[in-house]
Amino acid sequence: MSNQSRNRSGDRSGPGRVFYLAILVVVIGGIAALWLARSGDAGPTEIPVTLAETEADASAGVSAGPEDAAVTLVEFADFQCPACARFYGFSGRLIKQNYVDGGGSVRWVFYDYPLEQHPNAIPAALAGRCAREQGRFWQMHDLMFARQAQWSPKDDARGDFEEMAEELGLDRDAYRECVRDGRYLEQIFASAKYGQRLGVNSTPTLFVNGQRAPQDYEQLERMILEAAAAAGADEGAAAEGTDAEG
Amino acid sequence: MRKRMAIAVLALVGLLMSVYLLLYKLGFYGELVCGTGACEAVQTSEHAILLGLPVAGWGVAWYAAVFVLAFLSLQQAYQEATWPARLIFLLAAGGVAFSGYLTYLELFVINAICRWCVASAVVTLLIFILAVPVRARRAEASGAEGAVG
Repeated sequence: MSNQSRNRSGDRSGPGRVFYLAILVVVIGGIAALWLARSGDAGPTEIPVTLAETEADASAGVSAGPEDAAVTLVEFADFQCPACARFYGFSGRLIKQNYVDGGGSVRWVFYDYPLEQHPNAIPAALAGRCAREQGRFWQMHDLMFARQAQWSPKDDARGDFEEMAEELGLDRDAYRECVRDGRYLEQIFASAKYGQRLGVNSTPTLFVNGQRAPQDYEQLERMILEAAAAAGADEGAAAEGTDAEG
Repeated sequence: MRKRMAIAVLALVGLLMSVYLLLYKLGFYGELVCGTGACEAVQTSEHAILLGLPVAGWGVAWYAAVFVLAFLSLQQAYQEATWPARLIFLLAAGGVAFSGYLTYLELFVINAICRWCVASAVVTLLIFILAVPVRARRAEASGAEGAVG
């Protein structure tokens, strides 16, 4: 049997052309796929969504920062989501410190977006809302994210949230009562539904003045500054309702 | 020979998938092509790290090793050697065991299925299946000519 005729599928001298061709195709196809995955994100959230101030008010978000701020940062997050904790720990916290708190230029609106795979997500969201009832939402928010690694793996983390509530000096009975009767569940679901309408399908999802925003601190900061400049350039610009309803 | 060629191609596919997941872990991609959010749940869970390195990183190393071994074993210089096939089998066995463990975690601990992990598990299983007969046949065919499938 001649070596020539068997060379396509391989023989003693090594694998044939077909094999090397297959390797080449896979390599090229793979690199192309990896490149394409990079140069644009898929998903409905590519479409710029403009959030009118009134809509943001009307739905179930929790705000921080000046009401008349030129820039609004909207966040959809799940307290049990590791990426959310990471975002807040490395980026969000600083943005809030530098631009929101203490009379800054950005208004932060937080929306609960509990994911199905996180059994403690809704209890955490409820804990946040009940803390908000006593004026301590953001402190509770910060604590829950900071300690996420501790309470997240537990089957039921409500005990941990109660401890946090105590630490924050909340009225224990009022807090417990609030959690027990689940009075803010509706708000939480409304918040999540709002996110779904906007095409949010992962957390955290951020918008700066209606545009999908990145999580990285420097990129986010840049976007905020650009938005502030753009808003300043509009005549008589105030955050309320300058853009069409999205 | 054919089996080792298939193993090489499969390992390459697995390698590319692992590279994709590793790049995500390293922050090159903001999101995974997944659509359900379940992938992020798995990829950002505490179980996505092993001994301080992302599981995806171990995957890259494993697939690269299998690919190199399979590719080498096809070359003329190494065709008569038995150690590449044995090593591939060992790696494949370890890979299937680890894949099985990861799948168990997805199903019962994290409660989320990442389709890329499933795909990788399937590729690993296929590699294992292909790796077994090669080894067994080599043992049977001892003394006969090499160049077994």
